[in-house]
Amino acid sequence: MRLKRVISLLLCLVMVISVSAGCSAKPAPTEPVAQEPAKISYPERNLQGIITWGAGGSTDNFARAITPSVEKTLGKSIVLQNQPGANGSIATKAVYDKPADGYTILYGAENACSYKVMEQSDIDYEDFIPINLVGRGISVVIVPPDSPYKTMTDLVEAAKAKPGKIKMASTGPGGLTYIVTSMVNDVNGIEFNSVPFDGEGPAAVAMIGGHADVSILSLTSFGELYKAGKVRPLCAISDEPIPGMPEIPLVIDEYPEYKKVLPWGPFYCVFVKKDTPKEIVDILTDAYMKAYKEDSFQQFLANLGTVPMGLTGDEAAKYIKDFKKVTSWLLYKAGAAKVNPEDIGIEKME
Amino acid sequence: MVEFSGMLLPIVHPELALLVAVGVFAGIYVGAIPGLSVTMAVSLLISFTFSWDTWPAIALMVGIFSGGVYGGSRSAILLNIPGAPAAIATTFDGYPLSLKGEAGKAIGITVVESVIGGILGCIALAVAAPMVAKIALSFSPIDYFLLGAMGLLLVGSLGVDSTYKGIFCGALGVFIGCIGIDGISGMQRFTYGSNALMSGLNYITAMIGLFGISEALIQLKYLDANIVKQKVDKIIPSWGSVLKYMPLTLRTSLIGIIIGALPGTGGDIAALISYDHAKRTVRNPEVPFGEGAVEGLVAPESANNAAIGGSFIPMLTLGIPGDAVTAVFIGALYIHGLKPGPMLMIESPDMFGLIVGSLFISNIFLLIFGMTGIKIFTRVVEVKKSILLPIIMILSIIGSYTINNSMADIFWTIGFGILGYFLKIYGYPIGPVVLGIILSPLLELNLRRALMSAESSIILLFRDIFTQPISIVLIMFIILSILSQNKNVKRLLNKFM
Repeated sequence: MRLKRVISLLLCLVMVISVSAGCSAKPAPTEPVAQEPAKISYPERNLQGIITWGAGGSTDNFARAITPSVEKTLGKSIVLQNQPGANGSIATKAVYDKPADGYTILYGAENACSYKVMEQSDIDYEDFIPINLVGRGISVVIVPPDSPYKTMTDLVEAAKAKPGKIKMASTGPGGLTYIVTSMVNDVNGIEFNSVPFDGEGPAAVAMIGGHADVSILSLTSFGELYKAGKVRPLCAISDEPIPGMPEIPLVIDEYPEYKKVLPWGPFYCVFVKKDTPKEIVDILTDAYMKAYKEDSFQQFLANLGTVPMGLTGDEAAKYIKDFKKVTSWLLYKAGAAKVNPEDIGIEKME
Repeated sequence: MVEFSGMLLPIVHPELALLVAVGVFAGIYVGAIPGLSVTMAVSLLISFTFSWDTWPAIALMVGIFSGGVYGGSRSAILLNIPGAPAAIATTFDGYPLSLKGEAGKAIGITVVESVIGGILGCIALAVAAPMVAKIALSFSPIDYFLLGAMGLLLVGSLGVDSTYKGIFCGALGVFIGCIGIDGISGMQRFTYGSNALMSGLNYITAMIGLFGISEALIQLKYLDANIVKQKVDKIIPSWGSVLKYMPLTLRTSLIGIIIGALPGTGGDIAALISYDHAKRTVRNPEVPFGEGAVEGLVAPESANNAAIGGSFIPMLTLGIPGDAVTAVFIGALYIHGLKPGPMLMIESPDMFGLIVGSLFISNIFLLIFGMTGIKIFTRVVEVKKSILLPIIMILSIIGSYTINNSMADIFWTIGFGILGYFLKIYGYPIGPVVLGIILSPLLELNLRRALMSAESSIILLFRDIFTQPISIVLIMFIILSILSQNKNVKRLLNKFM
């Protein structure tokens, strides 16, 4: 009996201590970065990885899939922490507030590209250096299997015939499906009755449950439903075929005018804060590139329905810049964003 | 079509069964601490089990899930602080029992009911998954709204002395639930430009503050009150009493399975709606509801554990999470190289079997672990208040921090604690506040979605309600619930029943 009591007390203690240890891992007082980078020995201690979305989401999955291999290369742990909320801007700000010493890694997705036009945050990826842009998602226009629309042209013609009547399972303003829907509305000059759901998953559920006529979702959220025949793709919003699914038609075949906004797609990327010493950026870039190239990670990307890209440095920055341009203008034209992209230095779309 | 051999996996591989057992044990403790949620535990396990094989990782996670959902009831009964949102309804009758010194009896009955509910959920998952998934898919936005409205009716039955106070508190909760970015138009509401408010207030901070902190504050007034000695001689409920409650258990488990299977609603709403159902259908409880009615424990506890099996249904048949925990499970499957979706049952039938088998075994372990250690647990209430209250405070703070690793959540928890203190002092019930916060997005977003689907026409909306079978059933329930409170209707019903 006595022993039991001791054990239960010990258990409680261990729990409390371990949890409070987690709490105390708050931002350490910002130490000045060593200014004499004669010889950089990095990393000397464990790193922290901040994930912009909650546990179980695709950003979280990608972070947790790539990190173990990087840890092996660096020889230190990367302690992963989810800081969801406010469309990822809380985590982005948190990493921005840390010193630019390469000890805090940001695992982000495309969301930050719309912070400025949506007035969600003053900090976006221009304040960060991309380490590895691992891949991009492709959005695909999908309908239920028994839908009368056989091609994208069918759908566009039907939408033209009865504007605002075709029910589109969408996401909230700023969400991915919302942006792609704005793109289709803009390029094809049509209008749907967009009903926003809580995310791509719930939008897919609503469509296969028969509560919407059409949806535009990323491969990640409907790939398996497609293989099982629960949804029928009309066309991919892409200028190159989807790896492994060449049978899905491309939107540019029917509507070449999409070329001006493509390639475009949500992405997953690893960042460090701007002004991180170049040596450290190089060490991290090599480590993440090695992890990116591993078979298990490539398999992971394929399962997730993500097109592998593995962009680093300027290439990654350019992709992000283009994505931001297209997205900002689409959001502005659709009325979701109140800030004129031109006012914050985003060049016009041709 | 169902692969039964997979279900035997945890028996063929005893180490899997052992991991389920470890999971259940750990889950009970994680669940009992307010704020340490099952979702969090399972997501931590993803990192922890990353290098493991898939099977042991999943077995452990299923164990934690099962144990954690049950564990929430422990602190609900003993301290009037639900360990998890799914245990909110358990406080209504569990804590009064504890005040009478019958915490042991209450814990005993919740264990048995959790296990029965859990096994029923597991059976539903094993044999009726495709059918239940189909029902879940046919729930349209308006049906979710009606479901939320059913939950809202609970305000009237939360043991409130004044209906107006109950309605006020419910409305306050619904208002709090509106804070943040509106999911339909993207407008910021009541955020005053604050980043911390953009994603709204987490209802778990409200739960921990309103129940945990405020309870500790109230108790400060009675530091010298006599400690209620808990009777712990008769813990295991008799067969007779379990059988007596069986019809109710079956009904509430069914509610749990279906609400669990609905994407977007989980064990918390299942438990609340079941409690309401029990209160409306049980005519003559031995003790009135709100004062320690056993039925008030039977309903939510069987429902929230039945919801576990339910929440796995859309996940395994369609790759769609049934609740927050199964959303994390889906992530875990991805990381382990599996592809959750409709093909999962065909491509990896073992996984389906493993989850069903582990879930079943977890309930057996739940019975064993739940029935042991009750004496130690009940002693928690007998600890001197000057020691217990600071511990409750600290755990509440830690719990609120761990939700999102955010300091803001700690302040909200403390704020809600102070709000709860004054509400309690002036006799305003706190249950409806939390209920309002939980139901607010469900009600509002789905009503607006339904209206948008109906091209913003009320007439078309009503046409939708009265032409869809599920909507008709739900609206009938609501009308009956309201009518059955009328004296004349009550008399009529009593004559026939």
